[in-house]
Amino acid sequence: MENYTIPKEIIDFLYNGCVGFFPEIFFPEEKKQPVVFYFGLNKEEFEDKIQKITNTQSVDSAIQTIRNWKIKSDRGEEVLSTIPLNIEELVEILEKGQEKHQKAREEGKKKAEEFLKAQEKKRLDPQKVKLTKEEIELTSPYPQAKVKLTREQQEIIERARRDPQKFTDELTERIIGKLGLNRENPLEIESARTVAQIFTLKALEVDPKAKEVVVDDSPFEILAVFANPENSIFASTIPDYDIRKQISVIVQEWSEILDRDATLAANWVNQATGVDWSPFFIPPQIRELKEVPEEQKGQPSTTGVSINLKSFLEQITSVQVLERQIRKVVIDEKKYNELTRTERAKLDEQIKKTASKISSMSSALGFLTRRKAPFLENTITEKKPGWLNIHLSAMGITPEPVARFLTQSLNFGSFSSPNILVSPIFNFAFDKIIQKLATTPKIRSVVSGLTTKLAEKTAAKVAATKIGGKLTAALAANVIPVAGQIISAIATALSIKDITIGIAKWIKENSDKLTYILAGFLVGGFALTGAPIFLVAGLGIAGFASRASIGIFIISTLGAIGSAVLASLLIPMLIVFIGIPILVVIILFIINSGAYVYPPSTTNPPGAPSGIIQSEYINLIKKADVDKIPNLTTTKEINYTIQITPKKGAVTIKSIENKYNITGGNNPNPIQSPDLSSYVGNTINPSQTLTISYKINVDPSHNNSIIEDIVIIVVTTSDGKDSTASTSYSIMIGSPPVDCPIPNGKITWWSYQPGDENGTRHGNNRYWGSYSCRSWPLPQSTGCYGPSDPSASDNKCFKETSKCSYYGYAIDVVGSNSVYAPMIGGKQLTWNCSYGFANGGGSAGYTYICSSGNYRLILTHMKNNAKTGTINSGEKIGELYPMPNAHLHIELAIGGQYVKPENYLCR
Amino acid sequence: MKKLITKKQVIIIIASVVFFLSFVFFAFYLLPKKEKNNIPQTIPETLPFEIKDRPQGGEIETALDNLAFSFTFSKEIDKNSVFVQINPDTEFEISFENNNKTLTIFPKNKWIYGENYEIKINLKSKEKDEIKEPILHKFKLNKPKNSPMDESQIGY
Repeated sequence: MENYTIPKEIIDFLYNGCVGFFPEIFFPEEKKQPVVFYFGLNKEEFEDKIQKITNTQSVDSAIQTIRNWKIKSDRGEEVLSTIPLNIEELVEILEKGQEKHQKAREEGKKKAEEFLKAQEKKRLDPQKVKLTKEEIELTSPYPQAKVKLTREQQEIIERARRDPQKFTDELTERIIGKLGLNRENPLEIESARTVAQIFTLKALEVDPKAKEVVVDDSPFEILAVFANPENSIFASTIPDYDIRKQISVIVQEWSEILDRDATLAANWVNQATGVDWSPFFIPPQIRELKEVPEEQKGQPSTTGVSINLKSFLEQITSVQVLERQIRKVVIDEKKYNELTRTERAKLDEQIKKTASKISSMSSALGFLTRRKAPFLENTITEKKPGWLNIHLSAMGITPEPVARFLTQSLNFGSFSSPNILVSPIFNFAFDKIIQKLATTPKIRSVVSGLTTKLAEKTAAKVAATKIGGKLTAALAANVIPVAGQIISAIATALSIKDITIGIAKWIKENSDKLTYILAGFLVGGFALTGAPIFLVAGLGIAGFASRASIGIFIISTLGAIGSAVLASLLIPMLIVFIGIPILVVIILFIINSGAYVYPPSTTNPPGAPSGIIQSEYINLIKKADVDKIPNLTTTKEINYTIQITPKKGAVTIKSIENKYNITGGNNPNPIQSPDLSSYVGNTINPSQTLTISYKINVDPSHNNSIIEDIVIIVVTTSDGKDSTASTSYSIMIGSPPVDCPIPNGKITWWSYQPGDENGTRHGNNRYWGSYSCRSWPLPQSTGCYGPSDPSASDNKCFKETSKCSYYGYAIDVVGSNSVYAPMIGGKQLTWNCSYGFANGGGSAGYTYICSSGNYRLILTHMKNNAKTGTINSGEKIGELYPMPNAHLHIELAIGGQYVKPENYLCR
Repeated sequence: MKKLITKKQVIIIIASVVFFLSFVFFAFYLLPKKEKNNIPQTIPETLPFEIKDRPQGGEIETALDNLAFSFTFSKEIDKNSVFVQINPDTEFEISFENNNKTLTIFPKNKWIYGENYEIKINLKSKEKDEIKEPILHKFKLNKPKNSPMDESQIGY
């Protein structure tokens, strides 16, 4: 038997593959995650190859043999084998892989640089940014928001228009200076520049001579429709309430994040220019998305899309399901039946291979969604559906989990920039991106080139099965429907069948505009070999310059990363990008579907926020003649009074609206809002107080409920500005279930989570903003000024000497201004509440401490007239202290140890 | 004349040195002592297995009248060897976490604000390492009167 020398490269190739696929053997202590692909081979294929080349019957023996070869090879000894064919095959794989990577590296780098250059050029060229509605029809039918420009604003806009580049530079400098950003941290500086660029772009769109300007016509406005699962048009299109609710949860989450980040960006520019630009950053329509319909309030909405997505994941990891779906995509049943037996077998084989690859890829996705990312032991997300987080993170909305994963995986070090780094890019980009991409020739050509390439590749593969005559033409000539069918298949897997039909139809009608999205989908979902060029193109499709920079980084460092690692990095990253096109398509479908028009109302603005809105122009007080009444046997009348007092000068009532939130009750009857329209137009002079009285009726259907009566008033001030104020008053009937001290309250700031420095969490870098770490301990009165967890090393307070494991355990909740004694874990408790201490000497309200058994509930930012002594769950304790960002800060301890309140309350 | 001046100089120098030394002594020894709480901190050394993490001692401002105290050791604790005593006599419960390396003491009732407490702990490691001296943890809880936390600039 002839012996062949095995080249060292091949031994290294085999050995590295073993290390990549079987890290548990090579690094038993380190718990490394295995790679999913290695030089285009999945684990099964690799196992097959090593068994053949080593001529062994088991994988274990094969690995052992390769280990021995490696040892010999490293010693410089010759390694011989009797299996030449496999060696040749492996050499081919290796050479092809290396060649492909090298080529892709170069092309990718070039393209990414071109893309960035083009982006940079366009950034400050309003003509290229501005698109007409006709070009893409992505504008909202929702009424556009208009803002009056002050003289100062006009001057600043003129300056921006005169020399945009200079203005951007100056604004960047001012932001850095005013916010005290760290010049040594390129991410912070980049953040400032991004915000400045966004502002400049916005300024360039504004005619400085116009007295009134349209500030935004974000496509997101239309998503307001989808914040309301009760919307009749929405309901007529998607009959399943649960599906509508899931969509509305996503929409609401997005709108909150958009609002939050836009607020942050606005604050930066406001501070830098000394002028309020908030409306330019925060279109009121986005705010309005926050509104949750009354019917939905009180119903749990935290489950989001997890159930369907879980099932989706389960399905896409099943080879059988995938086979079925792919078959549907490539050939219809009739044509399939027309194939000969051999042709069918070959096609089946091809489909099975593809399904197997997708399944492997989906398994990698499974790692991510099951909170563990390959090569990352840290938890990706806490309690939220991982898939959704990945979508959002990939899109730049939730920067932390995946951004951290990406940055750590790529050895960027820790991701410690302010949240603004990614979010405003998204905030701005998503607003414009769809329009931009569709008409940016460069991207279009890259993408359509890719699409064609992919189509050709697919077609070629199919043709290679010798049944090309029947399939090639169809595939090559008709990419869009194919991609449409893929989306359709996946949407089916998502169980959103009604949407699927709509999407598929809509895609056909809008195929030319969707080229890039579908290509994105293909790139994200089916470019399985992970060539960097695809990644960069994918990033380009996503449209984020910063991510393209990451792309460049990846490309330029590919050489330094071992092949095994490379495969592991790229595949999950590609997987991350699968989500974008799916969601983009769904969103586009939603936006463009002419049927979805939120009926605008002049008297009842949708989304008027619940809870407290402080106005600097008026004082608003609402009271009822009762706080609590026993369960009813007949109808009862409740009397309310609203007092409106101007603070600065005369005001005229522009609109006044009353509405009700009912928590609990047994299918409660809706409450008829009083007609307060007769007060519109009333002028209230300073030192005057306008008192409005009205009555409502409650009945036994409201037993065991809390009725929150909300008033929202818009006044016009003497200098022509509109100012909104809102307050609420709650009454309790019987014993309603209260699982949050603010019934139906929404958590706005969560407990600290090591590593999440940019989310809305107490004690993280974002929380402290311009405050110093020693401004106050968290929780209060603990002497704890920093996190002790080693993974919190990016926290600015990590260097504090006084640290603890429960650092930042607290939540902030907003909603109504009434604070109730809550249940915990569904159990009614008897609390003993007492006055605790003042906050900021009383300038930020007061703290009350309630005890029940081992529980200690610390409620902060309340008025100092709260009830003390014995209070049962569901009884009112007091009211929120009226500060501009009125909220309840909650800390909770069990058995003398602080815990995360959100694990017990307000979920 | 010269001699007298010399003596004077010597006296001045000696006086200055004594003054300086007194000042140093006062500044570096006495002052920090005065600034410290009147109640001594936990006794640190517990060889042969040591405390990795212990709670704050001395005067503690806290909103929790049932504050728990956790002591983390470098080795696994022999649960049967643990002896805890609290003065004044207080009912308590203990638990073990962190692979039995952390001992937590929970009062069954509330601590009394303003009272001086002393927790005495004696224990062995699972490997039967003994601590040379019992751990003494002295503390006094004070009720907070004001919290600087205002959160008024935190965005919502």
